[in-house]
Amino acid sequence: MDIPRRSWTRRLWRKIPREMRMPVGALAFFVALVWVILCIIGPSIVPFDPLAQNLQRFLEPNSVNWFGTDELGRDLYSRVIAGARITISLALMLVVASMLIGSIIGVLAGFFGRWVDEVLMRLTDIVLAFPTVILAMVTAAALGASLFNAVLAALIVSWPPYARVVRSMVLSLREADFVSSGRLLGFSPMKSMRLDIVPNVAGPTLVMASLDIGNAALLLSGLSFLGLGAKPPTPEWGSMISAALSNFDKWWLGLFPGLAISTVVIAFNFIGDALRDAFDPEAVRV
Amino acid sequence: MSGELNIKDLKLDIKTHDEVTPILRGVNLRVEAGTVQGLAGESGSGKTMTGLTVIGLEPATAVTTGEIWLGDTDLLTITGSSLNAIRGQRVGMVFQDPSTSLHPQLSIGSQLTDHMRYHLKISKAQAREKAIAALDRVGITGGSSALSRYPHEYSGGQRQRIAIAIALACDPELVIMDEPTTALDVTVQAGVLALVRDLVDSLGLTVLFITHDLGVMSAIADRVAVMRRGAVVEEGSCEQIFTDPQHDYTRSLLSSLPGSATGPRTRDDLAHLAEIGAGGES
Amino acid sequence: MSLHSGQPNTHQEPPPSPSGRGRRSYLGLLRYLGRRLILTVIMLIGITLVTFTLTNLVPGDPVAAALGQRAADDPAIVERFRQEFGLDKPLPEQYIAYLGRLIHLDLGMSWQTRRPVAQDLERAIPATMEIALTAISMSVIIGLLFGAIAAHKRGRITDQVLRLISLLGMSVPTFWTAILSFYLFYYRLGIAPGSGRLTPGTPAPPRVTGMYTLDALLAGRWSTFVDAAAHLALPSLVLTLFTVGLLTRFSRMSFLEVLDKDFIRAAHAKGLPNRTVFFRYTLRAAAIPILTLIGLAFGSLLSGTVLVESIFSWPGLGSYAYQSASRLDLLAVMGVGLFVGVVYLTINLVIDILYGFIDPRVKVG
Repeated sequence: MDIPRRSWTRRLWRKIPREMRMPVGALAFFVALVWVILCIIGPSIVPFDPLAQNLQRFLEPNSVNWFGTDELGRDLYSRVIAGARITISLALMLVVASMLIGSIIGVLAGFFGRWVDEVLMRLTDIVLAFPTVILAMVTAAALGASLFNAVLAALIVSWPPYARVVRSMVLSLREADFVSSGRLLGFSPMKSMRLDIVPNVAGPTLVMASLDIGNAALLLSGLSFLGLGAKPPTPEWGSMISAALSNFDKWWLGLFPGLAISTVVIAFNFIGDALRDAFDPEAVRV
Repeated sequence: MSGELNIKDLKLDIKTHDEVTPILRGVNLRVEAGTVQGLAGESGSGKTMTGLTVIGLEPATAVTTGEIWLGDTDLLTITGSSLNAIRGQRVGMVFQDPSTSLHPQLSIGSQLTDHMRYHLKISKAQAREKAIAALDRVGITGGSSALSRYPHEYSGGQRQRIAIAIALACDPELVIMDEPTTALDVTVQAGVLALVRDLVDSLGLTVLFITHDLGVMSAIADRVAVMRRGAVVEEGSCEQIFTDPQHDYTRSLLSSLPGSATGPRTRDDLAHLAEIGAGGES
Repeated sequence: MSLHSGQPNTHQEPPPSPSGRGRRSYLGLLRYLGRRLILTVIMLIGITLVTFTLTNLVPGDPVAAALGQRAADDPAIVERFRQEFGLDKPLPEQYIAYLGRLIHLDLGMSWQTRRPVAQDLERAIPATMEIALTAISMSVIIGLLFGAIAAHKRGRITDQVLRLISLLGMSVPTFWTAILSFYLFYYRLGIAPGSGRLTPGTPAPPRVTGMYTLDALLAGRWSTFVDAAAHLALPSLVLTLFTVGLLTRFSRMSFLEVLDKDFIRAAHAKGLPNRTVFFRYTLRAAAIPILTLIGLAFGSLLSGTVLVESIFSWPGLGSYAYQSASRLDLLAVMGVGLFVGVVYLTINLVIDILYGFIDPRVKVG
């Protein structure tokens, strides 16, 4: 069969997951990139101090205050931009921490089996049986409202899915031929784990984590919305929407922080989706 | 029953997002009524795609040109309900692996009768009666109790017999068999082949028999077509293809057949194997 | 609200098939149910233990949270409060006492409402169930429809659009859509009624199920029904958005997997019309993952109600849980946790038993 020759640019192009080659995918990638940049440099490029209460209250969006001003006369645009650092960095922190904790528990349960497995998986089941938001709420309320505690609370409910998935991967790997042959070669359990199991579990787990960033942002902003996360002057998106609730006739107060959360979550979910399609040979491809 | 199939210059391309892959590049094949027409070739030669296209099951991304005549109907031009009226009723299909081609959660009875009731507009009781007869014809006994069983309660060979019974339930003129013995053990294979031969001889059925296994081919086919890269490179009687191949590709295929020095399997071998198979399967 | 991976409970043993194989399989089913019941009880005890530990071993002071700082500064009031709720006893003793009362289905008293927790739950549960059941039925219908269409049109523009819609549904925070829709439909357009379950002044229908729409219909009060349904519409729609996204996305995956199977091709080869192939063959084969999914979606819905109820002043489980949690009302929170845990475990059990009916291959475990 004659294969059409392709230029190296074309070949490189095809290495990019298909979702990202489409206009929507490219847009999602661009949006995520912008947010990550804002997360890094945001606070230093805002036109106003996000905390200064020196403007007129409830100004509608205009050419100076692009997103209007809030109930305390603060510039909403500056607050939304400054909020990127809080939400995105905390969401990333949360995902990394829950991935690490969940993976360790999953590997231990899958590798050692027997009672270790039984105890750890029952614990996982109990946490999973509890509705996420309610458990996080109890924890956050008990620890006291602060952003760090909100992350801790979210962490308590976020690790079990990782533990589940990693455990099942380890279980199927343990039966795989190349792992058994490693053991036959005389690998110790630790060596087998280091050489055969961890590298094979890492990829899918990272993909799962990338899909989880959006969820983490949603959960954290939800907790802040309920008043269990960020404390008032902090420009956090969820708590900004919560403040908008008491002045819901001022549409801009809730609209812009909500758009910020939504675009972040959509963009990261889209990228996570594309990564999964690209790396998971099991996933049904289009 | 006619069942004569005439494929003329059938071309098929698969269109994906940024490229077009040709699969069939002008297939010409004439299947005479009441015979077993073999279709041989390596995997990727387009033989399975030819079979699927006849019954309108080519992938959604495929673009086809050419003609496929069954009697006086061009199967390539019809779609929707007129295509459904042909499928199952005038053309039956048997797939490679009966463990995946039968629905695991539906009883044998409902899989045997649903298309009968749809095509023949008969009552449930009539359909069940016909279904028992159809099972009997392929050597599955048990009558109505067999109808309430599920595929997983049968062995591989028995499942393929059931799949054949489903394909034959509405008395079609033509049956397409796509590697129907490949997934089976050798002894079971022979039993199924003997059944196909018997059905062709007693019912006057026309069969398009697709297989890469030249041993099986020599045992079942009246005529053989050899496909390569989406086109038929050689066609002739079974005997001629196996004893006096004209095309280089056919010759290289035959030389790769194990035991080719002693010649292909014969009908007598088949009958012998079928006896063993019948014993081994029950 | 986050439903992370949508992995079904793969580690649980399959239930025995009850599909008519005589008394032995029914005995097997009973034995299986017994085992599951014991497991359920252990899980529920685990839930109380987790809640109890969390609320007691952390810096927050429940007494201060319940009484307010002023009263908490008065040692006499604190002492009386501690005695009243048994907080003067050591923690393990408190916990054992709680479990002891639990056997008689006594969930204890709420510090906050000064009513038995069971009584509070009895009021809150129907309100939440009304939203959750409305939302899940709408989501299942729309989500499965979208999923099926997307799978059948895979790769085409319809598929891309539906995938985008489902991604949007899953990505947009519920509490934001709730506020936006409230602003738009209530404040701006005046189509939707305000918050709460009924317009103030409308008497609640006589209680049968506790769900106002249903009770109003049962009592034949048409205008009350319309009012209750109008109040129900917005909160349940907001929740539906999220769940539709979830169900579309995952049912599309299940349908795609099934559509690739030979038996679907075989069904088409039999000349059956597309409708028959879908309802008899495709839907049946996708039923098990989809059922699992619906169970998970219902669980995430119950979580989602917390945020939505607090916005629409809906006096349901979510509002109750939120108020109890922020005041560290330990017994009330444990009550909510137990209830939701029971719902979650029951759904899982029902789904597992349904597997046996759907799939004849599932054998006696």
